[in-house]
Amino acid sequence: MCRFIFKRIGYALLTTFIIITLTFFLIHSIPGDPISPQNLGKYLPEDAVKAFKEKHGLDKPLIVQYGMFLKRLILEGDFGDSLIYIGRSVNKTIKECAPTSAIIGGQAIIIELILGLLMGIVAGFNRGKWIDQVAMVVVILGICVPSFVVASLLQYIFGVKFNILPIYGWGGFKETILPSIALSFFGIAMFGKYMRNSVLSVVGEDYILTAKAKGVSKTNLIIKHVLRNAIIPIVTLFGPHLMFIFAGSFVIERIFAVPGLGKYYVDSVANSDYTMVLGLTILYSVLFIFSLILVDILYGIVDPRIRITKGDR
Amino acid sequence: MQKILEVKDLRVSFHTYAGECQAVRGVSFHVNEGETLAVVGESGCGKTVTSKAIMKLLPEPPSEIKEGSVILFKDKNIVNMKEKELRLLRGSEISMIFQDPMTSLNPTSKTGKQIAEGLMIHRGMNKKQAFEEAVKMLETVKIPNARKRANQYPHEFSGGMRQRAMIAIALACNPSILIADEPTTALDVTIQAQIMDLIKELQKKLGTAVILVTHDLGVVADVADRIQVMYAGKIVERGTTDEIFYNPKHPYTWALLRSVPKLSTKNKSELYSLKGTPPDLVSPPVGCPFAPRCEYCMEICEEAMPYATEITSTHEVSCWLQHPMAPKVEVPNELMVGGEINGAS
Repeated sequence: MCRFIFKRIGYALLTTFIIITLTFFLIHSIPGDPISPQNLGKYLPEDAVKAFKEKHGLDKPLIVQYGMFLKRLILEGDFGDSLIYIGRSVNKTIKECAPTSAIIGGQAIIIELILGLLMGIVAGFNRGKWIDQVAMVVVILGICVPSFVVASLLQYIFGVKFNILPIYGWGGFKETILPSIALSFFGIAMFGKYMRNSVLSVVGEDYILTAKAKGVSKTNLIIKHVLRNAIIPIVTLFGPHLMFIFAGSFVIERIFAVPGLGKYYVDSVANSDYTMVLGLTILYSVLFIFSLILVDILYGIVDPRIRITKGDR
Repeated sequence: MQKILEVKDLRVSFHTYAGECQAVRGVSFHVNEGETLAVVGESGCGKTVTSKAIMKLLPEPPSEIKEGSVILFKDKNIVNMKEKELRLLRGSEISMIFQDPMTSLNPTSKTGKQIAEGLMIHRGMNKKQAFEEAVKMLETVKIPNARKRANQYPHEFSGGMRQRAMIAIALACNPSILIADEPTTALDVTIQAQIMDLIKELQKKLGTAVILVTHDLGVVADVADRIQVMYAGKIVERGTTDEIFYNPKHPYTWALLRSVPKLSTKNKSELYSLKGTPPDLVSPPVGCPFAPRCEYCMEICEEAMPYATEITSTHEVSCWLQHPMAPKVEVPNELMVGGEINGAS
């Protein structure tokens, strides 16, 4: 198992390196740079532009810039300074804003898992009954209605109509509630749908009949035999979704004025803020890759059939 | 011998979009303590439905056990039992082995734990006691390295071993009746023989009555005490194993016996196969359901259901050929090899 994890981490590092390289050259191949005329350049005198380019090494050949970036990243763990926001380093931005995004994302995941799985289980066991049909309507709405519509509706209902929760802003737990709910809407629908299907397919399995023939009580049958097996496919969904929750939150962050990472990610691409784009891309890809490793480990725990045995590599 | 299970006029229907499919149409039989009763018939004749109905394992809806059906187990009617009573019965008094061992074991639970589960429910054992007992059960069904095996998952077992584990689960609480629903169909021939021997041996040891559901008369021959032949949701002939093999009366039983390949056949004649398919049970025929496929079909066969004729106290057949006015029909030649009807060997 240890060997398996080390091997996976090795591959993960390699993948990250490839992503860094690709992102570096792609972002530099976009026409213009942070101080070209269509961005900041038109307000600056020529000397200032030259000085800026020299300071950030933008006047050197691309391959040299790549070497410099890698050296700084590997030796110092430093993504560099933002090219747009003066005096703001990428590392600091991540340190300050990532926890904010993580709180919203984390809460959303918890809501998704609890409500989504519960809905899927209830719908699965009551196939064709009214509760199943209600759940399916919720699923379709959750998947079809974009998150910003849900966000606005939530703001209207809880902020304006009942006036119980703040419409936007950041500070205490209260402010995190609406963004988390808005963000979780899609996930609830997705987990609900997949869990329902998974429950339905497990209920029809022969081993459920075996358990019934053993005299297992209904509660035990559902928990030990049905859910234990129905959860396996859900684990696969969980990893990539973890990433989606982080990256997909910038719309929600905008609507609720949450100071998360999403704002910087979108802005930096628009402004050709090379260091910021690279820094955030690396952060997201590392998160994604490690969520996949997490899924593999989780999979081994929930499904004994694919557990790595001692002899295997 | 005492009757342990008595089924009277069992009728089971499935409600489908096409209409009500009458899978079992008035089946009556009994099982004595410690004996083996084989239920034989082709696919779709209602044998599996009958066996599942005994444990009330059929999902309702779409299935329905019709009013008037009686399944008496130790003088209690299973049909009227509540879920709670049924749970006490299942696994402890009546157990079941299913057809496909590859899918009948829970893939995410250790084999030992699956055997222990029944013991914990019915015998009130704690985890440790139940596990120890499960190891003993695995030894009983002749799985080597039982302790190690009990800690393994079903996917680490071969097909034959899984069926042994299934038998261990079924027999763990020492039930009075074991229902084996085609226990060897999914296994290869050598393993089939081993599993049948195991069932036979354990039955003798534990005194369990076995209801063996199968479509393979070859499997039945040296295991069963009595055989009943089912066709289109009805029992068409029943008798002791000897009576069915040496003195079969129903043309359907003849057809079944003729389609068993025999070692003694020397000429290169083609193996007999019964033409046609069983009737649609959504609208079952008025007369004998076998009439359209029967070589000896008479006018009456299509108009009225034949009643059961008693040949001996144990041998009963539902066929118009038994009527005193019916023409005398000889048993087909192939079944008379060297003066005896063969199929048993």
